[in-house]
Amino acid sequence: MISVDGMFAGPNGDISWHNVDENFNAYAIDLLNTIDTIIFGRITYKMFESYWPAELNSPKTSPNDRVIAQRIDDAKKILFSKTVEATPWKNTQLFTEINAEDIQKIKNEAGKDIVIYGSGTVVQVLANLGLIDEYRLFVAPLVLGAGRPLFEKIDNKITLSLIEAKEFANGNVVLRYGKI
Amino acid sequence: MRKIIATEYVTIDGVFEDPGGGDKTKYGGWSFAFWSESAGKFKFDELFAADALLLGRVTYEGFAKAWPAMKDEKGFADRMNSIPKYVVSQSLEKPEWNNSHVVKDNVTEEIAKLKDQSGKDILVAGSATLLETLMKADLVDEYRLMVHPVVLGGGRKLFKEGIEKKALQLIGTKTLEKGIVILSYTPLKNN
Repeated sequence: MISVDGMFAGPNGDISWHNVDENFNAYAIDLLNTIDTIIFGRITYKMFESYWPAELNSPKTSPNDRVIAQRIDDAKKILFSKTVEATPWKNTQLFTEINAEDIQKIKNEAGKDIVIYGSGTVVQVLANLGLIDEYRLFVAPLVLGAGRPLFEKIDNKITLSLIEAKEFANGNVVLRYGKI
Repeated sequence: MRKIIATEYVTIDGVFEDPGGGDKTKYGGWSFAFWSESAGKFKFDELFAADALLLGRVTYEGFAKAWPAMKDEKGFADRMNSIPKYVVSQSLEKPEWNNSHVVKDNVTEEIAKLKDQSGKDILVAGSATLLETLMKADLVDEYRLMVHPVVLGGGRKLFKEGIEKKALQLIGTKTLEKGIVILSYTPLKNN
């Protein structure tokens, strides 16, 4: 999710402005049905790790959230981090470097698609390596004015092809682009 | 009351600088590949629903250099050249482009007065510095962002780092052939 001015997180990693509703959750589930692997940077991984397993075990979790929690828990998790030492969350594979061959190997494995949530730093590296096949940008209806731009260190111009622009009732627009 | 509409060419990474490439900037010249008949119609309808342009100096000077030499069958260039232009600048003394007026002092008051006059829409294009001033003074009534399907990786951003946080309300999405998406927003009024 990004703001109109292209930030994926506000100052100090603030994502309290991410506006999620049941339509978004339904979309998230549709997406989760098409993937079996999630790629993370450290910050997003830690955020997910501290949230979703607890959601899965809480009796108060809504049915949609429970589905999401289960899918995320079951998915294969690829974590890129130089500093994380232990990864107790199940199905996690830790890489200390991002290199194109490792990613290509994962892409070549039989299975479903691979999704990256948040993880701005990883997105930038993979975008520069030309390894991202599709972008789904949820544009939330606000200008943040400060924070971390999703496309911060892009080396060369990337021209994409629009697949779809879809509005949600809460003012989010998802922009889907494919690699050319 | 007239509406102030900020109508902007932007990339996916929020760059607005030099879409046509006329300013010869490093990242300039990114919009042309996505131009289409429907984009032309959108800009045409918008211009003819307006009766004034409100510009910052940098955008104004780029326009003033390019438009007087232009001509087209539909009369878009004629309209650009004849429409009243208000340019906000501390340094511009003699605006050369036809029907131009410099707004130097009491900028937000003067612009608020313009809004109070009867008439059609007032269009802001480009003009990031002016846009920041207008947003701060709550003078923008609508944003129309033509998002082009390209990530540039550099260039000036429309919404500058440090700009005030602003909640918006989505009023429409329009997809054009060749991949431009027009996102329209109004400011969200917190009552």
